[in-house]
Amino acid sequence: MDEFERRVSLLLHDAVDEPPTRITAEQVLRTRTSKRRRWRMTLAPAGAVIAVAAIATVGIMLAGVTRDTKSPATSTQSARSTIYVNLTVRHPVSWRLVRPQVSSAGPSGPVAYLTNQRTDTQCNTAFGTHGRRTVTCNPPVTALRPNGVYIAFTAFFDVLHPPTSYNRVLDGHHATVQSLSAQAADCLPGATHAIRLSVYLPEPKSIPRGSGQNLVMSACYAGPDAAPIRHDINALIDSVTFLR
Amino acid sequence: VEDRDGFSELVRRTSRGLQRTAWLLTADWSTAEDLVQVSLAKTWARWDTIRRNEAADLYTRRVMMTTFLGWRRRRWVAEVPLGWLPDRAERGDPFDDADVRAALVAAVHRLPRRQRAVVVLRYFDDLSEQATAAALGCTIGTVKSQSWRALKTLRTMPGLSAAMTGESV
Repeated sequence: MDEFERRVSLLLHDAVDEPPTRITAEQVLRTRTSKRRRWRMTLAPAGAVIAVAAIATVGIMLAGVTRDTKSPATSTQSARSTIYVNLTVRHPVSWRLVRPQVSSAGPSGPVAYLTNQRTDTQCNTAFGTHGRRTVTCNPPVTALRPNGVYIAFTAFFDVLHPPTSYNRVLDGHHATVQSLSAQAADCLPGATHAIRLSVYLPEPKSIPRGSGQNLVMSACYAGPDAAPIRHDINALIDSVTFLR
Repeated sequence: VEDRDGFSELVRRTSRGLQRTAWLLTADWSTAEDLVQVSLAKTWARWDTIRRNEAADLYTRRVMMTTFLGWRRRRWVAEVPLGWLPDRAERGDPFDDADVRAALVAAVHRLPRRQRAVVVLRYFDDLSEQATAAALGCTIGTVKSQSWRALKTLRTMPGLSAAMTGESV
């Protein structure tokens, strides 16, 4: 190593600041242990979540997802990301994984987003009685631009109404895939199409009486060139893997 | 968080260093964080295999470099080339080193991605040529040639080489 190389090395070491954020294992994955602990504490709010989900599903058009196998994928590069606990999916690298800000508003919010849009999450803190602090955050994307995609992953216990009809089996688990209108799926402004994936994971050991866990993926996307995005979403659904 | 035989410890031990390396590669802290998280998630996906051979650090670093090199088409990490370098401070200026550092980092960020990866691994992470080759999945000869080209580029950048050697421009 000559003098120039030594100087490069020294200057590079001095040039890099401390990272502004610290990455934790929780950000990379949420483990089964913490999930169970949290959900045991929040089973009551989960009832409300189920009610909201039931209302939201009214009006859903029950139709199979059309597969556009002739359409080219929008991206030749793909990456596999851990979405939640042991759920991983493959997606185009141009789709960015966004974790929601920590919120004390409730356990019902999405656990992760995938989008090709610019993200900007704003949070507000409110103080209620007894100094109780409530943090609410808006979604990281507020409107879809043309050819945009925005996928929200939500997980909750469905202790009362496990789904009874399936049209797919994903990695050994029964699942329902539906094509929806953007309006029926309660998508962001700008969205023109939606696909919803529901996977039911029985977990008899975690909660008594055989309750299970619902994983719901709501994918909203926009035209005018929607076919490649639909192709990528279908490929993502095909890639769903539950690590064991 | 459940540790699952050391994964949390791996994240705690390596993430800061990986973030610094990733920043030199990507020129942006958010992108660097993304790169590290994706790399760790990929490591987690194969953790049962990796943790047994006690090479998790090396594996994660290699995943990060492979991911970085595979991101070449990703729009939001695209650099905007500039036709200038920061002015060199006059001799004796207390901010001299800071200016040189800024010039060097800007120059490194303008290197082709593979050359940049070699420079970062060799001169920031202080890896040997052999370890750099292992991290990038290439031969030692490739590391040498990429390193030679990168240093040649850095040496021939007028503002940078003069600033680094303390000569007047």
